[in-house]
Amino acid sequence: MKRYLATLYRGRWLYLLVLLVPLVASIVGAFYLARPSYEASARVWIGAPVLANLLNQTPQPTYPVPPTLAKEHVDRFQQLLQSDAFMAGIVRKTAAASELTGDPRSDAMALDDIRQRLAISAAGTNTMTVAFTAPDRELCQQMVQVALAEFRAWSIQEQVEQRTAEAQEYQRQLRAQEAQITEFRRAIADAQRQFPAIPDGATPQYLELERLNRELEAAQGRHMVVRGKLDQAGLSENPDDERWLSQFRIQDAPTALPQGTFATLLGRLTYLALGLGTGAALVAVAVSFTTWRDTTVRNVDELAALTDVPILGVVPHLLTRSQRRDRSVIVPPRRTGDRSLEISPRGVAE
Amino acid sequence: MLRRAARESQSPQQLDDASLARFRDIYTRLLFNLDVERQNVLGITSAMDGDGKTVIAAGLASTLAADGALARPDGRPGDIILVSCDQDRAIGRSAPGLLQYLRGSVGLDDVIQPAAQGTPRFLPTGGPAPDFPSLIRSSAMGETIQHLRTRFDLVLLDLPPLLATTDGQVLGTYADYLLLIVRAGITPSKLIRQALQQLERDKLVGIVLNDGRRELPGWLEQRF
Repeated sequence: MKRYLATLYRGRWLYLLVLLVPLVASIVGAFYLARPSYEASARVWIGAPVLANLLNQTPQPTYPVPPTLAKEHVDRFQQLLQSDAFMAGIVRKTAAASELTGDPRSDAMALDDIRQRLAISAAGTNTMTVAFTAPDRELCQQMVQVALAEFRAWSIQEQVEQRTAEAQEYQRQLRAQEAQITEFRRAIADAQRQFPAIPDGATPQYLELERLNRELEAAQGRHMVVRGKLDQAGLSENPDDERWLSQFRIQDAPTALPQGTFATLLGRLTYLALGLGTGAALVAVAVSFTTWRDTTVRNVDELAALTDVPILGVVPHLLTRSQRRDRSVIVPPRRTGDRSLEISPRGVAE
Repeated sequence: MLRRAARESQSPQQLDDASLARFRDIYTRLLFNLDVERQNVLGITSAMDGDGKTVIAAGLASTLAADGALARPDGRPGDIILVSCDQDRAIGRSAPGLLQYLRGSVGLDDVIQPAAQGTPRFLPTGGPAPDFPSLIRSSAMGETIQHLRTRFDLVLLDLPPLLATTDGQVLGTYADYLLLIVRAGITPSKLIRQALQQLERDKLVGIVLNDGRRELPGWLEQRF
């Protein structure tokens, strides 16, 4: 390991160059050779259902704070996109339908690729954005339009089903309350028949009759409230009434093909990572090859491993006069300990 | 260019304290292993050209002389001579030297360069010559070394590299001891093994690693 590091350190400037050349090439490639991408996006305003609070007119504050309407829909949308069936339903209505070949593996890969390029996010309390990025401009536009339409259709269907179930529940409650009212009326009638002349006061018969009357009035009151609300909303008659549905209003529709290129940061980073990885690999190969080819002795340990002849010492690298003069700019020459050796530069070079 | 080379060749090379300390360490360890009173010829060689044996030889000679490390029985510092035997890379190639003496054209005292106090004597090669191989293999070469052996307290031979020609091996036979120079990051381990095979192992007193550098920054070196 040390030998490899020493090789790297000795040729550090060359290896740095080897590292930088692919990196610079990848930077150039990222900015000039990367395929242009386009992004189509739409902003959708989501309003609460008109009759949302009708049955619960005084909502109590809750903790933690519930998600906003936009976040709630974004969450639903993203969950739906995780479903291959929903994604396939979108893709089949776009120009990318040809990518679905019927092979489960390749279809899953194609859907994953499209899924990653479809971005759903909330941009406020009531605004949801849908964006799609691809080199094909028409596909971008189609994908956003179809995805929104599919989500809206699914959302309506889901809410209609929910409202239908709610209506059925309220109908059941109404029937139960009507049954209670009938029961109380029958009980009162029975009591009046059994005790035609109930004396006033604290007799048990009188108290039981009073209780039945109160229960009957309470049941009639609840029945009237529920009936009144349902009549007012028209839910019992028509659960498809759009007043119960979330209001989708597309603010910025991708009506035109996207024009400006959208260079994805991830794409460029991929190029840079490739360049850096290539450079690092080249450096690793070069260092390994150089170290493997280098059969020279570099230190006392390697020399000692080669022979048992005693090693008397190590003479450091001797600087020539010109090298010393160059270095003297930073480090003044130490005159006090110098000795004169009548050695020619040729001898020194040896 | 020739003028510039000549001007550069006359300029002294300075050694800093750290380098001097390293040379002191080396000659101290050397002197522990050498019996210079009886065998005082030390050959310095390397496996290949460019390992730095000439620098090491000059540094050792200079430091030994400057420190007066070789003391005679009478207390005076011993005489040290550096003999350049490498015609390809040698100090003072332009001056007459060993080759001219071996040809008999000059006297030995004429080619041994005088030295100031605290510096070694120096016998240059005398330039490259086509008859260098034959001259070093002549009996005159052996006689010259024998003469230097008796006249000086320590004779340092700057030998040619071992694996380039056989001149290094031939001249190595004149030395009592051999010192092998290995240059860090330059000398392949394979050539070191070959050089060790060609050397007379009983003469080899040690190896010096030249041009040793810190391989990693200090903070990283500590982790290994």
